[in-house]
Amino acid sequence: MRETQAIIERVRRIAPDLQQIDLSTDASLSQLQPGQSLFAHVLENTQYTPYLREQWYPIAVGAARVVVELPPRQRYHPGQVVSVLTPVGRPLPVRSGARHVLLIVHDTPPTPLILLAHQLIAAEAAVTLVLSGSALRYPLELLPPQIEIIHGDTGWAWPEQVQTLGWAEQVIALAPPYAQVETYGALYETIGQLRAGAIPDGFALGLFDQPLACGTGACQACQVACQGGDVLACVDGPAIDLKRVRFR
Amino acid sequence: MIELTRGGKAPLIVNNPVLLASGVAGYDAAAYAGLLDLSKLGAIVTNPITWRPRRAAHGPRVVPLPAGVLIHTGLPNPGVRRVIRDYRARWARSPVPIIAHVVATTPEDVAACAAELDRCESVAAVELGIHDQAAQRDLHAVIQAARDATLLPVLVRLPLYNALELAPGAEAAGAGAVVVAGPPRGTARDPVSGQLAGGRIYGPSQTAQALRAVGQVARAVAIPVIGCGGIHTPDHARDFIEAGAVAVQIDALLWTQPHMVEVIARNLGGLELTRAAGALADEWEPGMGETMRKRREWDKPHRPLDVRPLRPPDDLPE
Repeated sequence: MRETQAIIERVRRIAPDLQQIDLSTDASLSQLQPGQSLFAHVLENTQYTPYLREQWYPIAVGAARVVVELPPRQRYHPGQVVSVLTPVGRPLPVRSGARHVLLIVHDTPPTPLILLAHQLIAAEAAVTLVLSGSALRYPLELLPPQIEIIHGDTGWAWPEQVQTLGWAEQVIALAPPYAQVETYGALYETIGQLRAGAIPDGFALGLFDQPLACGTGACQACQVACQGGDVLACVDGPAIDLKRVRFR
Repeated sequence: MIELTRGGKAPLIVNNPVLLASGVAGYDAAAYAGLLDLSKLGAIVTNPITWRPRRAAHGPRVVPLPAGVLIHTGLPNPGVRRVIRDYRARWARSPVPIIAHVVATTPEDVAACAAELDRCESVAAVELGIHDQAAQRDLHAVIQAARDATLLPVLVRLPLYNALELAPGAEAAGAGAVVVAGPPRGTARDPVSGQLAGGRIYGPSQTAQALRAVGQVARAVAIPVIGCGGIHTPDHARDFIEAGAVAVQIDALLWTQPHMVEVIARNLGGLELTRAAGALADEWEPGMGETMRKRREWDKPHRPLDVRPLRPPDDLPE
């Protein structure tokens, strides 16, 4: 992990509860991969609010330019200088040769998956995005038109659930922190039933996106109980193979 | 050189009065090796260690507060044997002494932990984390258990709100130093889940309370006092030294501004010039508080000022 500085170039409110920020960054940030995030802190923040660094997920990465998306908890404006720790987390482990990817997002913005969706579309993979709960408030016009959007219900069910789960070569789910273990457990059980218990390694991933204190694995506040040893969402995640997770 | 502990077979001596507190840097601070120069610090206190493995807490663990944060981890750790197995070699390579933080659960568990750590040559001292409801009798029992099990210096981290009450007991039980204080507990509503969550509070709001406790404890005991709580600037750290601490532990600042920890260590370690360019560096030493006092007296307005008008030089051009 290293610390660099970035300058806020532009702030766009894309939805009542979502903003996008264009950052001029160090060139090294062009190496960021889907799933990895920035741990940011505005330098002129002398009032210690917000106190902790914020986790910013990139939705577009270019040469010395990164666009991030986050809830408007704080008001940012162009010209602000930001201290950035990168990278937080590991790249999403997309299965080699996966051509059909199912993304499921419930009750939270799909921000951590947007960069992945763009990359999969660019690689001519087929992407289906299931949105339910408050995730349906996401402005869909900002997503690539090649993505198939399915509206799900609040119970992690959606039309053609059996077909899409059978069609997918990889499933990646995203839920809010308070519901992750419960909902990922239910999803994993459903997948297990459809596939008669034979779930390959890395087939079903859950994103354990949650508030981070340190972002480096030092504080252990983001530990996820797993078989074969607990893992830290900020260092080993955010994506964790649901096959490893201890749901009870 | 600062003597961090007193008594025992060998006192713990560090090169810098700035330490990393328990719970903020992991077991070896390796995650921060690229973000600050760890060799400029005095010592690293590990994350809490228990005799048996502990799992992470359920429910919200990180709750933002105005100018602070509430954290409830549940002190997850794989148990002392596993920690030693995983980190023994890394501790041996550490540029600064490693102080192992042992959660003071029961005297038996503390003794077992201390005995294991005593056999690990790369551990320089043991810090006992005393829980908030500990009574004098509990305190005496765990300190005695640790001292019986190890010859390493034993530091005792006291809870904030009864530090003054417990400190003399810790001294009497043979603690080599007291750390004042552990972060206090609080309750707040998690904005993500809407649940109420309990945990320990970190942030600059702790500075004033911890500073008061350090001043009180420093007058009540003869063993070294290490200040801890809400330190975010070199001035905060110097205030703790002036209040009677021999050293300070930095906590959540490491997460928000890691480089500032090095700035504080350099400032208190005499590596930052505090006098005009060209003058000798103001080396840090235990008498630094005295130096500051003298400088402030020097700056007071009662010192007669030389207000004589300047005589113009004779050779001014017409």
